[in-house]
Formats: sequence, C-alpha cells, structure tokens
Amino acid sequence: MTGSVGPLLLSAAQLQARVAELGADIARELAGGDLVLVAALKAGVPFFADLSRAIDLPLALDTIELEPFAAAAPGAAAGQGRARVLKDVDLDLAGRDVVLVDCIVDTGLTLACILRHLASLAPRSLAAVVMLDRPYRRLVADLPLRHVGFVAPDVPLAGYGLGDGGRLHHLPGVHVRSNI
Amino acid sequence: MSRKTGDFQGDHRASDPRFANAAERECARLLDHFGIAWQYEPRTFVLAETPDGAPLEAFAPDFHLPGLDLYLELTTASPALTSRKRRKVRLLRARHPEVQVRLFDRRDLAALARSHGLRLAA
Repeated sequence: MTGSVGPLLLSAAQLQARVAELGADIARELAGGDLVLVAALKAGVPFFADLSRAIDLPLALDTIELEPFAAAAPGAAAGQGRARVLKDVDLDLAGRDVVLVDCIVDTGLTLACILRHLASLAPRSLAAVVMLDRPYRRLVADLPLRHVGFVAPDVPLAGYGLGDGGRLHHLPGVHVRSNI
Repeated sequence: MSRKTGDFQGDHRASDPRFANAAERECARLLDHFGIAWQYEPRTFVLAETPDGAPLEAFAPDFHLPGLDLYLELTTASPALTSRKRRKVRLLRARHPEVQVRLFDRRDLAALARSHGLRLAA
C-alpha cells in the first residue's frame, strides 16, 4: 500500500521542541535511577535517537523488535500463532528503570505485547513514551504511558518513523498521507 | 438469535469458530498474534423485552476480550447501514453501563489494515 506525502502536520522544529520537553521531564523523574531506553524497532528509531540525546542523565540504550502481524503466516488459523521477538534486548534489565520508546500508539496491541515481554525481564520500573498518540481505536486501555508528545488526528501519517513500509520513516516532520 | 459457537480463546489450540466474514477472522488472528485472549460471541445481551418479559431484541457482540474486559463488534457494512449496529451498541451501553463495548466500522478496519496489514478481502 503506497501513498503520497501530504500536508505537513508537525514540523521538525515542533517535534524537536517537544522532544526537549520530554527529555527534561524524564530526566527529572528518573534522576538517580538506572535508566535504560529501549527503542521499538523500527518505527521508534528517529524519536529514540532524538530523545536519548535530550535526557541529561547517564543512560543505556537498547532495542527490541516484534514480528509485525503483516509478516505472520497468512494461512494460520485463529488460535494459532503468536508474535515472535525478532530482536530481543541485549542488556540485563533486571532491577533497572526501563523506558520503551516508540513513535506512535494506536490500538496499543504492539506496545502492550512488547511491554509484557519487557516486564518478564524484571525491571525495577517500566514505562513507555510515544511521540504520537492516536487513541481512537485503543483496545488496551491500561498502558503505562509515561509521556505523550502529541495527540494525532485520525488520519494516515508519514514521517518521523511512520509510513509506507519504511520508505517515509526518514522524513524529519510528520505529514498527512494522501492517495491511499 | 446468536451465532454462538462456543467459547474460544486465542490461547487455545482449537478449530476456528464459524466467523461471519474475513474481517472477523483477521481480527481473531490479530488478537492471537499479540497474545490477547478472546471469545467469539460468548454472550447475548437482551436489549428490549415484551411487557411479559420475553426477549424482543438482543445483541451478541462479535468478540469478548476477557483480559481487557472489553466487547468488540465489527462491521464491514457501508456507513449508511452501520447505523443499525450503532443503535444496538447505544442500547447495550444504556442497559448495561458496566459493559465496555467498542464498535469497529469499515473505516476502523481500513485503519487496522493500514497499520497492521489486516487482509480484509474474503
């Protein structure tokens, strides 16, 4: 499914200003902790890179990738199949303060699944931060969202980690997608 | 009244319920993928009764997600025809305010197809 880049919704400057605020908030809240930022690959990478440099604390970086639903076997019957962790964290998270970083939360299914896995690694605290919240189809209501950058409108988006199978992830701003 | 085929949870290894359409089947697979337990049409809610208490109108939401305490109704009908489902959801909320129920219409399913790659064609 492809589409064109439409109007700019959030400029790079707006995103970076919000990243600075989120970084300062997280630094204040987790001062004295043992912080590990974990990026949800691949959409979370641009936000993760920016946020990690906006937190004025010693911190460790790690990444995790969950098998997307689209990659699951199409012939599997209901009741079969469970998302695999394609790339697990490398660090020992036990007793540490873990913040999962992703670009967007929509239904909450992906975030909840990753958080469940991270929780099994016995961190001292576990929370998530996303740049964009699209709450219109939320199924998992009790996500530990520590911070949200912006509430996004209910339209297809591109840029800053989103859009078109990865081909628009590099755009520095968030755009509305058109022609999809 | 209900197409209930027995409780079925995504964690179980059992044969498929008789889903009404491809969207329901894909939704079940999506929930399985993310480890969300579900039941297919496990409960029928009475929405209206005759004066002597006999059920007059009822509604069996497609899915119950017990871990999330949420009922989910899907519809692939055109927006004009979705109003019947919306009315049932409104009545369910009015009669059972303790029940959490969400209606996913064609636009919602299209959004899921974009974000998760649901295959909605039959």
